Amino acid sequence: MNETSKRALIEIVGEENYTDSLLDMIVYSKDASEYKHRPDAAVWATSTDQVSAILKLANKEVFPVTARGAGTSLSGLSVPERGGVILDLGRMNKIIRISIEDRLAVVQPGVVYAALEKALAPHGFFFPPDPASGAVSTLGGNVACNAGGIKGAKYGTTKDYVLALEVVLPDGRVMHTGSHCMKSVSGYDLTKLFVGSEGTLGVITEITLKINPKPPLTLTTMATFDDLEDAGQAVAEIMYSGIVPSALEIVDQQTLIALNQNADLNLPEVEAILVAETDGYTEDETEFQLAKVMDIFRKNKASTIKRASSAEEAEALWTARKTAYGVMSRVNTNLFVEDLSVPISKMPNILRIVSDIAKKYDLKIPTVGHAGDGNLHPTISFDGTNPEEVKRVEKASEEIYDEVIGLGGTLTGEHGIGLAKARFMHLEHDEVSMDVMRGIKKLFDPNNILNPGKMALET
Amino acid sequence: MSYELIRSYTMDAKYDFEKKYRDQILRCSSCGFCQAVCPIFGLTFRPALNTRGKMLLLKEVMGGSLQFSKELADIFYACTGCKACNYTCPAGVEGNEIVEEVRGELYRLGLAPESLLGVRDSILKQGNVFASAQGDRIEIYPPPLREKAQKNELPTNAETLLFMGCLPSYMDMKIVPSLIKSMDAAGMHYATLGTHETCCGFPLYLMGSDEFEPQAQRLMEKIRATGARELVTPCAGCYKTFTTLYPEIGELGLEVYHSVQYFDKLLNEGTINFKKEIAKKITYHDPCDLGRSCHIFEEPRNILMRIPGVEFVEMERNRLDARCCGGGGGMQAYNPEMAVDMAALRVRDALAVGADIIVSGCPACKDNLRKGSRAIPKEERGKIKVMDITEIVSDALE
Repeated sequence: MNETSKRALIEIVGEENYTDSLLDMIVYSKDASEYKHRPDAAVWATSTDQVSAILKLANKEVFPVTARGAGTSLSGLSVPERGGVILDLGRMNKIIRISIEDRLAVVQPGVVYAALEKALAPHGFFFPPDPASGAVSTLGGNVACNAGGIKGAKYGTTKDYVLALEVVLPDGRVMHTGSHCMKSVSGYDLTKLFVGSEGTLGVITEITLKINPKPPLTLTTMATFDDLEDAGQAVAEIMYSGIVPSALEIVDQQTLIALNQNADLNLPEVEAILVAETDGYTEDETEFQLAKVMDIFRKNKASTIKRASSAEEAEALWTARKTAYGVMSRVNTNLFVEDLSVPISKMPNILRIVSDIAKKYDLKIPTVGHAGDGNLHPTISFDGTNPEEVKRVEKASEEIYDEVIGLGGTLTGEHGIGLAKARFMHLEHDEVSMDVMRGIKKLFDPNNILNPGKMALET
Repeated sequence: MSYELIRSYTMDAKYDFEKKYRDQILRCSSCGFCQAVCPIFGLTFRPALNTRGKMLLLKEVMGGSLQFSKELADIFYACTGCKACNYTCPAGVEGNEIVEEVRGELYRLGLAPESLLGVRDSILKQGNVFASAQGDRIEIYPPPLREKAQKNELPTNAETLLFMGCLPSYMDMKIVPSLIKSMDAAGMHYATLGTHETCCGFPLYLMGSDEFEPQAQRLMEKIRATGARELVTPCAGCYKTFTTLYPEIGELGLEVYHSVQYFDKLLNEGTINFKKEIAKKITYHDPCDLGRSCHIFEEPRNILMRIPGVEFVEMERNRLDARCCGGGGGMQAYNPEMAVDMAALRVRDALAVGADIIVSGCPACKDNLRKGSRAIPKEERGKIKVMDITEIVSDALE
């Protein structure tokens, strides 16, 4: 990036919204993944007009632009792999409108997920995806990465809630996609094209989200299984039993062992724990669903089944699942949170495979995940200062991807491709679809200025 | 590809902060959860200023690719020491303690900000943070006590020592008189250090100065010499310093109470009783130095709820999750504008729950919240008042 471009950026956003200080560049080189690359400058945009002017400039001068929200990507989505400018959207954080009558919320991209939750709560509404990073991640990032979360099985992920977008294209034109109606089949679904596009096609400057009424009641149960296959069978049966739990999570034996070793939680070191939550508007309804879940646990030889009778007890049943990330991140210097998805029936298979691969490479790979939708997070905690160990981690990851694809699974359920999985895209997508994806990228971004280096879009 | 995992941290630790905190700093996985609670980030949206950003910079320093500089100092002094990040970090990184340790390094390298060095000089020369005359420290005493202090006739055998702190002594019109009035109402026999009271040294500690320890030693000596059995202070910073920092250095040899603890105790014992009705909606702002630092949460609330007529309301963010008012960590001296902006946010929290009065247990919070309140347009802030707990206690005892 040349000095003229830097001066032009300052012209657009003002001195106070521009930085190229070394210290800011170091910090902008990273997100929550293990990747890093420094940008040449960063700007805090405060309006769609500014974003448009910035992209126009970048397109003319051909320098990369990487949009960034809270920088919580676990796959390197917001790492400026080719340098250029970081377009920080954190200051565009207004909730523009909440319309309960029309069942929607209009927000700027920098609004934090939790801030929208808070604003919707008094109306008895919510925006369901519930990503684990929701206290800090921004809705712009959630949309660009199609974030998912714990409620996926029942409520879907971000893509199921995006009604309309305002997007600035690389040539600076502002495009409005979708509609504020609950139903619309008018033209190509450009909205969905941008959800999960990882900032490679345009910069989202306004989002219209469908919102849901929030069932006020929840019930929680937890079961331990001595045999992983029984747990897997229980999950499958629950998901076709006619009810859909609002959460159904799995914690594997390696996780329980790691939690006991590092956090003194005194958890049973069984092959798997399942935690389920049901929600509803009446006690009968919520209870009916919970009873069904517990019946299926029983039928599938759960060794113990607990049911929470208070909010505190529910919290206690969630301990293993909810402390896993924190405890794992304390164990060693580096952490890979994997994010594979398999058809629900294949979950026990992949858990066995991950455990075998861990043994083969002498690693500990505990796994937790969203059992209800087959999205698992094997978590590899390792010592990044040991090159030999790093090699083993890389080998193990590669082998896991091969196996996942072999089972009909997908490379990523909710974290995205970014840098982490770009070189594995060909495992899952055939040449034709890669060709089409690259064609789409070229159509929108012929100069490859937006988040270059991600998703294997360059040939 | 920038896939960079192998780091050069295996070399010997070069800096003190590294010896103490290297493992913790490396453990920061950059998840960014600290961003949600960092008051400085909340104002600036500058990722370099939150704890994740600071840890990334320290990793570079430890790897040898970044040197300490004035710019780096600017980032490490932009922290109120509120400790919110400590509680939100899944990996248990103690951001607050790491910042304190790094400031020590910066201070030794001559990189501490000028504004803070001015505060240091005042403490070392005049014994207080405001460069005021030592003799003026008792100006705020009620006349009878002041006279005794001037004539060196303060009791020498009292079991209770009142330690006022710099801010209440020099800058606040109400805290010291209210504390004394309440102690008198309780019939307590107490002494003060009068014109011999000095700064506890907390600001020196916060700027990373090695003058903290000698300052603390000198004061500790004076306090021990009184022979008192207990010390009561209305200052959250002094309380935190006496109870968490002094024990690393030496023995104070007495029980230390913050005024919120002491009044709660007097109420429980029946030594004092509230008589006057105060028909107001009151909220309590947890000072970081009492709350997240010392886990004192219930005493002030118990006191307020005992006052006849008071309707106690809780702000949405309270106790461990309380929003920092911005007045701590040396921010009022280092970046007063930012401190006030943070305070305005906290006052808005109180306005959101309809409070008439914000009560705190920290003179720095009170001072900063008052400034924050004045920064809010009058039609919005209405008649909201900021008071210290000593004032409300003294009013309710009348």
